[in-house]
Amino acid sequence: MTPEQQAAADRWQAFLDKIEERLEAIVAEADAGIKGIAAAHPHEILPILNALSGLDHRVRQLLKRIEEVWDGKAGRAFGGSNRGIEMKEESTLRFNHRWQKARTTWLADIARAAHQDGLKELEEPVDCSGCGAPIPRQVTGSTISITCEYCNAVNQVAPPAALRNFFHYGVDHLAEEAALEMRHETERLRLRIETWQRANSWAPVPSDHRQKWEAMQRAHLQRQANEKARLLGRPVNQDWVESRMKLSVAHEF
Amino acid sequence: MAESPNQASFLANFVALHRTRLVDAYEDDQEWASVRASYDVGALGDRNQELRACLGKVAALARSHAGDHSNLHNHLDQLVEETLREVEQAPSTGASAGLSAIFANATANVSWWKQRSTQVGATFTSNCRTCGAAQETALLFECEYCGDFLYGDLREEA
Repeated sequence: MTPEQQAAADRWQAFLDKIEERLEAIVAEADAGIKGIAAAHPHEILPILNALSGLDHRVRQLLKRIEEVWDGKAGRAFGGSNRGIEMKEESTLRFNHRWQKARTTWLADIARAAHQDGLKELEEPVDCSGCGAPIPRQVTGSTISITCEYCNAVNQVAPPAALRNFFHYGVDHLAEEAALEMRHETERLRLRIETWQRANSWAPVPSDHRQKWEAMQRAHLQRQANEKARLLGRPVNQDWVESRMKLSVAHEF
Repeated sequence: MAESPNQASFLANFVALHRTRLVDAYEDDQEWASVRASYDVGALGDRNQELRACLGKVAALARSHAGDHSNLHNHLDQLVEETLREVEQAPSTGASAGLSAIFANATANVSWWKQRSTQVGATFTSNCRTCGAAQETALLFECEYCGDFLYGDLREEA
């Protein structure tokens, strides 16, 4: 790089660092906020999702700022060098991974708490709505039919709200968390491949690179599906893995 | 001290300014210590208690000059509790990154949903609309006592 390009790279890096610092500030503030909502409104996913939706918007605004500054002035300062756009892509990926990590951890922590609280609540039997006799409960997230052993009435027994949330949302969040680092590693590899392509006039991706990426992508999807199946106590949804795999190959290459 | 309407207005402004200063500082760890100290209130280990003490001093000072302005006295009587309610309802986080509104909006409708969702009991039994007998076999919707459809015939009712 020329001295001018090096100076541009230094300025650009300082800007990107600043954006990542602002994300850290949002994560730090949001951490307390999300935990506060979870404590004040236990087992209610709606306010958490509301807050995350607002935070997602705020985070997207920061990403948009990177693009605006790049398109406005920063991009031109690099002349013919790819260094600037590589820095942008690396920073954007780090930024996205940081936000996904924070988001996934919050939701997974809430899911773990829901599971624990739900199991505790199950220890308390509910009463038959026909005769008032106690009805034993089962570990499930759905309303199930249980016949009262005293009066034979069929009771529709609803799960505790905590368990309903755990089985309906929590298992997905925990499965995502289990596979997140593998997913990020796959995305980092994809970026390295793209950087190589850019430096080589967008040459086709070498087959060994592509095979490695596909293997990593499949491994992370499989990890996520396996974890969800384990939590639900059901067979692995292999169709989901295959359909996601097909989509991601079509999207990435 | 005079007890004119101007005096009451001056006192109300005086109280409002102190209240704003205290509420603004309440969320800021660094600023709070110095603001609290300026009211001669030491660290009590609980910010709400410290805010209560500071507001109490403002209210006492204003009250000593409020004469017989009953509206002002009423306002001062409520000052501490109203202000505490305000700061407790406000999200305690998100101030520096500008996220307060996000967290405030996120919980805006919680009570509405909670009120409705908690009205449903943990168990529910279907009873025959003709004879009142309880359903005894899941997914069997003919009453095992009288043979009628458990939920009645909606077409007939229509």
